[in-house]
Amino acid sequence: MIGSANLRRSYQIRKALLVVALVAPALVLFTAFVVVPVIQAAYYSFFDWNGLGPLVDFQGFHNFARAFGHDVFRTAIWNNVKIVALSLLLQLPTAFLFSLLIGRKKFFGSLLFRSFYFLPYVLAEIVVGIVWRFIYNPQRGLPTFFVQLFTGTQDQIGVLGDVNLAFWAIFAVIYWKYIGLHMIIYIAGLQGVPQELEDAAAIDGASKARIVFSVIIPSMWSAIVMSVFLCVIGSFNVFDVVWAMGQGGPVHSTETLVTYLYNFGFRRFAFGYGSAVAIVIFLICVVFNYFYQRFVVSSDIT
Amino acid sequence: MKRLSIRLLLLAAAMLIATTAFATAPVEETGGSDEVSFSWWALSGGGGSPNPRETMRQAIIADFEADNPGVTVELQMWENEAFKQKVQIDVQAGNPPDLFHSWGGGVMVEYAQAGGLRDITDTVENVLSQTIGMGPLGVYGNAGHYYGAPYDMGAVGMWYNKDIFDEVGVSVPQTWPQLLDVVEQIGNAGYVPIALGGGDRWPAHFWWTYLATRIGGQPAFNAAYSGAGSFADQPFVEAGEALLDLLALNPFQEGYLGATYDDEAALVGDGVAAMELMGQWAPAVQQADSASGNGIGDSLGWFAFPSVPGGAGSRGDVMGGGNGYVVGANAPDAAVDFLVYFLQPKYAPAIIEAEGIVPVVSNVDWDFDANALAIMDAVANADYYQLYYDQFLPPAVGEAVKDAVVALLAGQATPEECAQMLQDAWEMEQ
Amino acid sequence: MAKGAGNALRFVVGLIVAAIMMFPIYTALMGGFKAQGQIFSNPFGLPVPFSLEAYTNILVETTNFWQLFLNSVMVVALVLAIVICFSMSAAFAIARIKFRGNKLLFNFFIMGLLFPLTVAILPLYLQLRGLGLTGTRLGVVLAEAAFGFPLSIFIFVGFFRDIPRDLQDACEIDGGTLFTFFVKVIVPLSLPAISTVAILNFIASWNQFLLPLLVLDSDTKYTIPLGVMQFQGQYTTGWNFIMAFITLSMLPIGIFYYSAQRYVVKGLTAGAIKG
Repeated sequence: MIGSANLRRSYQIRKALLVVALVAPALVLFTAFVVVPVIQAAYYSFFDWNGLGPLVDFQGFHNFARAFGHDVFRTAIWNNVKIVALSLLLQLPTAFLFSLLIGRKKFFGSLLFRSFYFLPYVLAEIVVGIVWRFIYNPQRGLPTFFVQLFTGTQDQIGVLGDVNLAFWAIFAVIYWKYIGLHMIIYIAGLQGVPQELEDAAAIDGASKARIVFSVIIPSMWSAIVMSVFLCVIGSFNVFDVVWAMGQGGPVHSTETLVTYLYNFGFRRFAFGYGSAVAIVIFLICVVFNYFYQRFVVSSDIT
Repeated sequence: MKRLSIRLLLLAAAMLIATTAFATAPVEETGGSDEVSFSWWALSGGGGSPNPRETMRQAIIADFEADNPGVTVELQMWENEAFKQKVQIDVQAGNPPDLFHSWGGGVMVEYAQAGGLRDITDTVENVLSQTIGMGPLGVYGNAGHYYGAPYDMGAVGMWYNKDIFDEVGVSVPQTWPQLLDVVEQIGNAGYVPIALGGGDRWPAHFWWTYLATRIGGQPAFNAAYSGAGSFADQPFVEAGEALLDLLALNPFQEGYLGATYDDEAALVGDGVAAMELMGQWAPAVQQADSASGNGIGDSLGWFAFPSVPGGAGSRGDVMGGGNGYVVGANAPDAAVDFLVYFLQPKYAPAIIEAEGIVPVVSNVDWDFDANALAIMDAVANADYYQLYYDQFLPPAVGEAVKDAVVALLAGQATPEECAQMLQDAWEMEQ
Repeated sequence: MAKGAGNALRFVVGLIVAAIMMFPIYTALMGGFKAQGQIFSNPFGLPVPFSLEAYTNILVETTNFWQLFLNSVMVVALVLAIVICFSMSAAFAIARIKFRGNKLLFNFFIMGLLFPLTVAILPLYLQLRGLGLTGTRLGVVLAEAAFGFPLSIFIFVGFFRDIPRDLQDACEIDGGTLFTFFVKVIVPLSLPAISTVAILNFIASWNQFLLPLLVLDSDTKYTIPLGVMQFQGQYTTGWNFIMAFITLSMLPIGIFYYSAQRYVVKGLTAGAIKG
C-alpha cells in the first residue's frame, strides 16, 4: 500500500512539473506583457489624469459615473449591441454558407476563392478607409449611382454624412472585413466532420438542409462556439474599421466603445477616463464570457 | 490535486513578482562623451523617400554639422497622428525627443507643464526676436516662457475660384451679408458654393471661430479665456446664428458631414466648388488631390474672411497657425543652437520650396505669388492674431469646440448649446 | 453528371461572391497604378494611363522597402514560432490534463481577449523600457507574442477538447506517455488549427502598427506598416503610393494564406479515423 501511495505521489509530481513546463512560457510572457500593463491601466481609471506627469487627482468611481451619464457613451454601447446582433444574424451565417460552398470538396477555383474571401480581413485599415470612402462618395460613389439609376434624377446621397445612414454603411464594411475570419474557422471545423456520417445520412434520403443541421453543425460545434465567442468579443472591441470610416462621426452617431475611448479619452488627454471606459468594455466581456462558458461551452475533456 | 494546484499558484505568483520587479528596475544611462548628438523629429512629406523635405533637412543638417564638429543630428520623420502618439508616450516616459515638431498652443502647454519641454526664453527673447515677430513667437510660449519657435505662420482665409466668380458674375465679398449673397448666386448657377470637410471637423470649426472672431473680436475671446467672461456669451452665440444663416442657403456639397479635408480640397482643385475656408497649405493640397494634378492654377485667388457688420472685431484680425519646433527637456544646447540655425532667413527659400510654408522670418529672398503675399500681409498687419481654437485651447476643449460646431451644423445643437458646450469643456479644464 | 453541374454552380456562385468581396481590394490594387489625381476622379476604373511610378518608387528609389520587409519577416517568424509552440503546449495542458486551476488558467488567458489592449500601451511601453527592450525588435516580438496567446490558446483548447478521450487512452495503453500522445496524435490532428492560428498571428503581427511605432526608435528596424508613414505628408497623402505599398505588403500574407490553406485540407486525412 505504501508502495502505491509513493507511486501515486511521484506521478503527481511529474504531472505537476509537466503542467508547469507546458504552461510556463506562455504564462510568463502573457503575464509580463499583457496582465501587468492591463492592471496598471485599470489603476489609471480611478484618476483624472492627462497622461503626463504623476497620478495625483484621485476620482474614485467618478469616471465611471461620468461615462454612464454621457449620452454619447450610451450611443456607443447601443451601437456595439447592434453590431453584435447584426453580426450574429447576418455575418456568421453567411460565413458558414461560404465555408460550405468552398471549404470542402475542391473544385476549380475553390482555393483561390478562399483566398479572395479572406483578403478583406488582411487589408490594412488605412486602405480600407479610403477605398470604402470612394465607394460611398456622395458625388461619384455606388449609393449615388444606384439612387440616380432608380430615380432617374441627378440626386446625390451622402451615406457617411447622414446621421441615420452612416451606421449601416459602416456595418457593411465590418461585415465585409471580418467575414473571412469566421470563414476560416468554419473551414477548419468542417475538416473534422466525419464523411461516413454524412454519406450515411444522404443514403438514408436526408435532404441537404437536414444533413447540414443534423450532421455537419453538431460535428463542428466547437468551431461554431469559438466563432460566436470571437464575434461577440470582437464586436465589443471593434475599432479599426469604424475609426477609418469617420472616427465615430458624423456627430458621434457611429461611435463604438473603443472609438469613444479614443475620442473622449486619448484625444482629450483624459487617460484616466479612457481607462475607465476600457474597464467597462472589459467587464461587459467578462460577464459575457462567464455566461458563455457556463451555459454554452461543453465542459472539459470528452 | 491540492499539492498540484498550490505549486501552480506559487509558481505563477513567483513569476508575477519576478516580472514586476524586473520591470521597475531603473534603466542604466551611460555617461556623456565629447560627442554630442540629439534627435530631431519632423513631419513626413509624403511621396516616399527621399522626398524634398528630407533632402532639404539633411542639407541643413550637413551645414550645421560642418559648422559644429562633434555634433550629430539624428533626423526622424513621422506621419502626423503617429507622431502625436509617439511624442505623447515618450514625454510621459520621461524621454522626450530633443527637437520636435509642434503646432504650439494647448498641447504644447500640457507638455511644458508636465516638464517635457526645455525653457528657451533667453534664446527666444534675445536671439530669435531679431528676425521673427513676437506675435508668431508667442504661439510657442505661455505665461512669459518660451519653448520653441515657428518657421511657418500663416492665415486661414477664403480660397476662391476666380473663373467661377466671373462666370456667375459676382465679386469678392467684403462683408458677411455679401458673402451670403455670393453663395446663393453660385448655388443657383449649379456649382457647389463652398467645399467643406465636415467629417474631419476641424475645417468646419474654422467657420465658427472666424465668425466669433469677427463678431466678438479679441475682447470677447480674452474675456472668455481669462474667466471674466464666458464662451457662452453673446458673441459666440451670434457666431452660431450667423453660421446657421449660411447653412440655410445649402452652401456645402452633398454629404459634407462625412467628407474629409482631402474631399474638400479635391472639389476645389477640380473646379467643382467655388470656395473653401482654409489655411496657407490649401493650394498644394488642391493640386495633389485634383484629377489633373494641377488644381485650378492661376484661377485660384484668396481673400480675407469677410467682416460682420456691427461686430467688435475687424477684418484685419487673423486666425491662423503654422508649424514650428519645440525643444525637449533633456536636449543638449546643440539642439537649441540648431533651432536658431534652422531659422536663419537664408534657409527660408529651401524650406518654402520643400514645404510650401509662409515664412515668419523677415527679409526672405523668394518670389512669392499673389496669394502668398496677401497672406503674409494679413499676418504681418494683424492686430489680433489668433491661433486656431482647436490648437490654442487645451486638447479637451479643442475637441469640444470641433464637436460643438459639427453638432450645430447637423442640427443637433442650437447656437446657445453650441457655445455652452465649449464653455462647459473650458470650465472642466480650469 | 450531377457532380459536374454541382461544381459548375458552385463556381459561378463563388465567382459572384468573390467579385463583390474583392471589389474594394481591386480598387486598392488599381490605385497603385494610377496617378494621385486619378485616384480621386476615377477610383474604380482601370488606370488610364497605366503608371508604374508608385511601384518603382517603392521598390527601387525608396531604399528602405527591403529592409522593412526583412524586419517584418524576422519579427513574424519569431512571433509565430513562440506563439504556436507555447500556446499549443499550454492549451494541451489545459484541455487534456486534469488539474485544479485548469479552468482558472484558461479564463486567465481569455482575459487577454476581453480588454482593448491599446489602452494598456503606455504601461506596456514602460514595462518594456524597464526590461531594456525598447528600441529592439525583440521587444516587439515578445509583446506581439504575448498578445497572440489568448486567441491562439482559445482556438487550440477548442480543437483539443474535441479529440476523443479513447484516443488518449489507447495511446496510454500502448505504453505512450502524454508526450508521445502529444507529438504523435495531437499535432498531426491539429494541422487545421495550427494553420488557422498561424494565419491569424501572421496577419496580426504583419499589420501591427502601433506597437512597433512606439517601441522602435530607429528606422532601420521598422516593420512594413511603419513604412507607410513616408508616403503620408503633413497635409497631403500620396494615395497611389500607399495603395501600391499596401498591395505589396499584402502579397506575403496572401501567399502564406494560400499555402497554409492547402495544409488545412490535408489535415482532413490525418489519423483520427485510422486510429
